Amino acid sequence: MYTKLGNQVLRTTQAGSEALANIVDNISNIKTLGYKKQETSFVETLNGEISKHQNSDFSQGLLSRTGQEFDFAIDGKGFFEVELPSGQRGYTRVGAFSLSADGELVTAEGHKVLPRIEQTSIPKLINSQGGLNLQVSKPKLIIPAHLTPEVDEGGNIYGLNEQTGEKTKFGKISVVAFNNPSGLKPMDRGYYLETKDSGAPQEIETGINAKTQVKQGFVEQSNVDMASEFMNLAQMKNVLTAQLKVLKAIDKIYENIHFTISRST
Amino acid sequence: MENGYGKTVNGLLSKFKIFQALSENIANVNTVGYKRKIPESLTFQSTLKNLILRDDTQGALKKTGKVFDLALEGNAFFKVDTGSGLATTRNGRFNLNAEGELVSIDGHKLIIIEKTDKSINLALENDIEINEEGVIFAGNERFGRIALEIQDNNPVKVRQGYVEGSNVNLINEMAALTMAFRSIEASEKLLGMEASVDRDLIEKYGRNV
Repeated sequence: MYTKLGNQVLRTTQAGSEALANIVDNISNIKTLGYKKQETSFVETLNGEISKHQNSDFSQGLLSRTGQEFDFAIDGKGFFEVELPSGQRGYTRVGAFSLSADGELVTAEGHKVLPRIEQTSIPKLINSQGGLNLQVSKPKLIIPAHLTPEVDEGGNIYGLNEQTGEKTKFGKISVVAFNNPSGLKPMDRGYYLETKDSGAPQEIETGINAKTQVKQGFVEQSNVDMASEFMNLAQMKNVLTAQLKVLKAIDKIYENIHFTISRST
Repeated sequence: MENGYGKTVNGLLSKFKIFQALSENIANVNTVGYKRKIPESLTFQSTLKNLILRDDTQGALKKTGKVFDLALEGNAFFKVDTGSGLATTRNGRFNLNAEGELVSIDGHKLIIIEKTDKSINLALENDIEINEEGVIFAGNERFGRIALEIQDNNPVKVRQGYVEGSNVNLINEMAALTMAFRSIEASEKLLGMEASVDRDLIEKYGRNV
């Protein structure tokens, strides 16, 4: 019977130390762009044990201005869609993009950002160096080098002719949302994969009057709040100390029983 | 002759149960909505039936600021559909599932009544308000009302952005655990003494046989 109790306390201690590891992760990622803090909650199961549930908290991180023309931040719900090297779709809120050698919009890791191209407004394809070149499957979208790329709150990509002030719309950075973003599978470096728990990606409306906006020249900071993480850390440490005391008491009970039994036989 | 072993062992077993209840309370100090088990309610009879009373006083409300974190003030429960019947819980950490429905942390659907006919996907709404009666508003639209199982006539409030902590006080539980431990130790010593008395008797009177 107390073997069961011992195991129970051990499992609880394990859940607690995993929660502690989570808090440490959060604190060490406080400066990571687009990082979403991991939350651990405990649920009581039937026999008084606890089971651990881990969740990403997708609340908005602070936006900070960088002024870089290829830095984008999402203000509101949603993710940028990128193509991972494996061919899978990945989702991220880290919008520190740049241009690849072929002139395509890529993430810091070199994964292609997937935009929607408006067929009606695709200009003739000019393959010029230094132009903004976005690719969806086959058709390529290139903004000629003499135009300045500009992205509005809706994620629409324009080419601005600085001499004439004329703007041409070329396409759109798509933003997708999930019914249950906590169900997404987190990967390294702020990428997420769709799972059956997350639901399918749904393209959402973006724009100046919409709930979600794409902001050029901004990046999203992590949503980790140092004060509450340290509070959680202190709390979790106390619980673990208490757990260890319980374990020690169980150990002592064992010892006494063994002593009694060995003496009386 | 009646021997003392039976009684001592029974006592030891119910003390173990008390120890176990305390260690469960300690384990659940951070469990949202956990109600502490009352070890004093454990008698030998109740341990046989595995009956244990719970202390249903209100746990402290903790602010989280999350839209679907709900705390109950008052004697009531949320109703969830476990798939094999209805269940009640005070754990108000809800989330959306892949279909955009509100589910408890272990994935059971929260029961929502008076649901609107309009198709509103809560996942895509930014402005969701849940008032003290448990009515969910998405923007200006009324989405539905959270079903509550109310236990008595006292008023019940739903608080959005809060969770109810456990009502376990770590220090009290640790003190009680130490006492339970000492009392187990005493029973163990008693058991050892009984055994040695028996051994002495056997040796003394068995010598001439």
